[in-house]
Amino acid sequence: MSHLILEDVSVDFPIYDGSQRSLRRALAKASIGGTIFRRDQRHVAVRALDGISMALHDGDRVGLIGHNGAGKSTLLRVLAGLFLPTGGRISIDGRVSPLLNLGSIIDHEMTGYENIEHAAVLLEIPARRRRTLAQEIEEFTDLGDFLALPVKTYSAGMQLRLSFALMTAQEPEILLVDEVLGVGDSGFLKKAAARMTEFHQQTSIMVLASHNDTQLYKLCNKAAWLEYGRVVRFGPIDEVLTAYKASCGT
Amino acid sequence: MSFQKNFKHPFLLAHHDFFKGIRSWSLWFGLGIHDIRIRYKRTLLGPLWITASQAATFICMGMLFSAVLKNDVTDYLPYLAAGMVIWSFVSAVANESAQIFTSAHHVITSLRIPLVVHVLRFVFRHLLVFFHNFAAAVAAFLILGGHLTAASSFLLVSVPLLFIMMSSAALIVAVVGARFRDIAPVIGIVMQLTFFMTPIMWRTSDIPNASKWWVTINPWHHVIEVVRAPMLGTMPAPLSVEVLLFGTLVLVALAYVMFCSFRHRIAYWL
Repeated sequence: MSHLILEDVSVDFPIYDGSQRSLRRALAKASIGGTIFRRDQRHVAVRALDGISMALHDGDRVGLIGHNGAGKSTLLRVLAGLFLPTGGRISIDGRVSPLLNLGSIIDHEMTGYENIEHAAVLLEIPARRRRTLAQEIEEFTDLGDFLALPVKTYSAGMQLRLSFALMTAQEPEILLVDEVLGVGDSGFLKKAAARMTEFHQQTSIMVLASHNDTQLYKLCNKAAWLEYGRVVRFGPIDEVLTAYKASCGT
Repeated sequence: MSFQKNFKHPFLLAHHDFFKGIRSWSLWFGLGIHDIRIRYKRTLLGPLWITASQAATFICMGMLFSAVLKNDVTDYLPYLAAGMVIWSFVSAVANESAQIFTSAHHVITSLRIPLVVHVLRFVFRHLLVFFHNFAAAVAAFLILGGHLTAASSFLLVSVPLLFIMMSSAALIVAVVGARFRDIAPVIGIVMQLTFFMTPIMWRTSDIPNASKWWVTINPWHHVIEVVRAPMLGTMPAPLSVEVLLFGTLVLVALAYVMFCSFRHRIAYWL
C-alpha cells in the first residue's frame, strides 16, 4: 500500500539575490508564475505552492495541468521529498522514483556503457538487475555502437533515448514524471509511450505533469489543475481537462 | 482507512538521511573513484599526474628551503614532503567544501540521494588524491635513506581519523556555505595564512622557545603532526593525538546537529 498525503502544503522560495528594489510592488501577481511577496523588510520570496491538500492512493494516476509556472514541477519535487514543504505537512509511503530532470544522471565525458554503470549506482538498481540492464538498454535505445562512445558525441535526441532508458530502469512504486519527452522523434515517442504504459502498470501511484492531452488521456485517470500554486480543480481526467480547456479558450 | 499516515519531523528525516548516507558507502566510494577517472580521462599518466606535480613541488621547494634555512636536505625534504602532502588534502577539502551542495544542485533537485553522500564523495575523492601524493612523499623519504618503523603502522589509525574529521568539517562548511556565499573566500584567506603559521615549511625547533606556545595552540599543527610523524617513522606526541581525537568528536557532533537542523532548508538555498 503506497500513499501520498498532503495537508495544507505550501512552498516559499526565498530569494537571496536579484535587486529587490526593482520589484514594482511589495506584493505582485504576474500573469504567470507564483506570487512574489515580501517576507520581511529585507527578503523577498516566491510562493510556488499555496495551501495544497491532496490524498493519493494505490491506483491513482494523476495528470498535473496548468500554465507555465503554476507549480507543477515544484509539486512533483515536494511529492518526491526533494523539497520539504515550508508550510503544512506531507506523508510519503512507498519507493518514489522521480523522472524529473533526465539530464541529471548523464555524464557527457563518459561512454554510454559507463553511464549505464554509473546510473545503476546512482539509482540504486539492485545487483540482480544490473547484469541484464545493459542489454535491455541496447534494445530500447537502438543506439548500437554509439553506446561505446562518449555521450558528448550524441545528438540531443540520442541523449534523450539513453537518459529515458536509464531513468525507467528503476522499479518504482510511486512514479513522478515531469514533462520530459521534448526532443524525441516519432519512433522513439512510440517506444517511450509503450514503456510508460508498461511502467505505469507496475507502479501503484503515478503523477505526470504534461501539456499533451493525448498522453494525459492515455496514462491518467485523474487530473489536478494548478494555478498560482493552488489546486483549482481535482477530479476525473475528462472533467478537469474539459474545464481547463474551456478556461484557456480552446 | 487501512493506511498509516507518517508525517515525519524534518529533524527526524535529516537524521535518517545522515545515517543512510554514511551507510551507502558503495555509492560515495564509487562516485569518488568515478570523479578521479573522469578528471584524468585521455591523459597520458592519468592520476599519476597528481603524484608527479606534487613530487615536483616538494623536490624544488625542499632543495630551495633546505639551502635557505641551512638544513640538511636528506632530513628536511621528507619532512617538507610529508607536511605538504597532508596540507594539500586538508586545504583542498577546506577550500572547496563550501561549494559541495551548490555544485551538486542538479542532482539534489532531481534525484533522491542522501545529501551526506555528496559530502562523503567529495572528501573521499580528495582522499584518493592524497593517497597518490602520499606515495610520492613516502618514496622520497625512503630514497633519501629513511626507514619505515613499527610507528608507521599508526597511519592505519590516523588517516581514517583524519578522513572522519575532514568529512565532518566539510559537512558543516557545506551547509553554511550553501546559505552564505561569503564563506568560500573567507576560508580561502584563512587557509592561506594558516599554511605559513603552521610548521610545514619550517620546524617547531626553528623558532625561539618563547614563541613555541604559538605552535602548541594551533590545532592544524596537531592534525598534521599525527599523520606526518608516522610517515617519517616516529610516533606523534600524545597531545597531538588527543587534539585530533577530541577535535574529531566535537566536529562529528556539531556536523550531526547542524545537518539535522538545516537539512530541510538546503534545497531552497541552492
